Amino acid sequence: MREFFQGFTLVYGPPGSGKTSLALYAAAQMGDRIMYVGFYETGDKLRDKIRGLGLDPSRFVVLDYLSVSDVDVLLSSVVDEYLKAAPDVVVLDGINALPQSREAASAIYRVFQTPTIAIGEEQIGGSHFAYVADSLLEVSQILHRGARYRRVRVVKTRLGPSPGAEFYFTISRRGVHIIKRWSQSRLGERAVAAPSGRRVVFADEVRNSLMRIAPGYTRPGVLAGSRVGAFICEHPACLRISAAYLCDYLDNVKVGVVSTYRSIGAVAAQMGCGVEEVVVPASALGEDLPLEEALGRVGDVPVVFLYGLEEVLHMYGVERVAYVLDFVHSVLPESAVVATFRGVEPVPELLSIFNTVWRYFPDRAVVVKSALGWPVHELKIREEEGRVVFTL
Amino acid sequence: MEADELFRAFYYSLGLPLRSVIEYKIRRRGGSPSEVFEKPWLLLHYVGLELGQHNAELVGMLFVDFARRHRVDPKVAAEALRNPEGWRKFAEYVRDL
Repeated sequence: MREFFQGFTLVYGPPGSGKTSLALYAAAQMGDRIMYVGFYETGDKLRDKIRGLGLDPSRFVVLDYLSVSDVDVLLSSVVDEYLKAAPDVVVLDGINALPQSREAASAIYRVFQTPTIAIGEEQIGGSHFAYVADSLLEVSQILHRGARYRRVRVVKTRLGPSPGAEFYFTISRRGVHIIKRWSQSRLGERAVAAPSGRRVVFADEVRNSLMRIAPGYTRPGVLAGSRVGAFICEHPACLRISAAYLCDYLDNVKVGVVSTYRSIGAVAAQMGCGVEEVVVPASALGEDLPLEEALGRVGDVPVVFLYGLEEVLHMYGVERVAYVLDFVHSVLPESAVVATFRGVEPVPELLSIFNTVWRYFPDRAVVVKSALGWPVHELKIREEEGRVVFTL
Repeated sequence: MEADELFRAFYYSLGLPLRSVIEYKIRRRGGSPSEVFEKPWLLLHYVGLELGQHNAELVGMLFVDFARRHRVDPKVAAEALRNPEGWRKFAEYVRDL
């Protein structure tokens, strides 16, 4: 996160968008001793906020100023306190309370020689402070189809990410974290897991076909940081195929399973494996906290299976599905994610958020997308003796 | 102008919102706002206790600025609200103006 905060950074946006939390957390990454100067929040509330971010309040010198009309005297008092405290980092929260002149902006820029994060309301984005700032970050909160997104946009920077870059971020007891958009460039080279092949079996002809294209690549394992979309039909056979895959992975590695409704556990039991399913209703996934708690319960696992994403899609749209997946990868960047949708089409907007997309029907499977060049487009499926067999 | 009068003028110049906060905090400490007019040095004492030393410094600076505009030496004004002795010297200074 430090890359966003260079020299004198001005963070601005509407109330409740997360500016103060973002600044506090960034400041805590930038130095041991932080001076917080606030003109709106009381010291007690601010210290609660610091604790709420999982930070140690003893690292902060909190100066909650009374609101006074003589802003020149206020500025002078702030400078006095800065010289006394000699902090590593300064957070000036509510810079609109200080004089809005070019002279004041220039004075603050020159006096505060330590990294400084100034926070202001929306209109400060066009002020003298914006001109002198080394970095300018616009923070906003977007409520779309019942889901909340916090976004930071880089408006100006001298050293950090390119101007115009936008990132979502999340605030929780883990602190503030940037949720970076996933892209196929994040695919690792090593496989983090491969299924056992006990329940899902590839016929020799399929294996041979695979080996001709990629020697040594006989089983479809998953790479670090990869994403596989599985679009399964409504037929119970499709759920069995999905459960068989899950069980085969569970034979070899620890797998986290998060579902929007309880379903896969029972089917997996029929396939002969026990699944600890963490259920988060889709209605709760408009906020970050339930997802974060679910991932906390899942722990550090090499593979995460997500079920019931069709409900997230219907309720909030493709944007939220992408956000949920980005969130998972921001918490577990090295894990592979297998996202299952039931009864929906893999539309183009969804394809772009996966490196591999499979579509399952009761009697066949279609490779809709494969960044790694899966050599077969369509496979036949038959169930025999409790196993799912893929043939050409 | 007498020192008491000058202090009273300063206190009212702080504006109603700020005075309300200060008076609430004084009452919370078991004091009374009128006490501050009798012993002006208690203003910074109460503000420091209830709102932090940085705010006491701020109110002190506002007073110095106010007194300076009334031709009072800033050094004398800076001590006026710190203790009874500072106030006594300030009162003498104002009387001699």
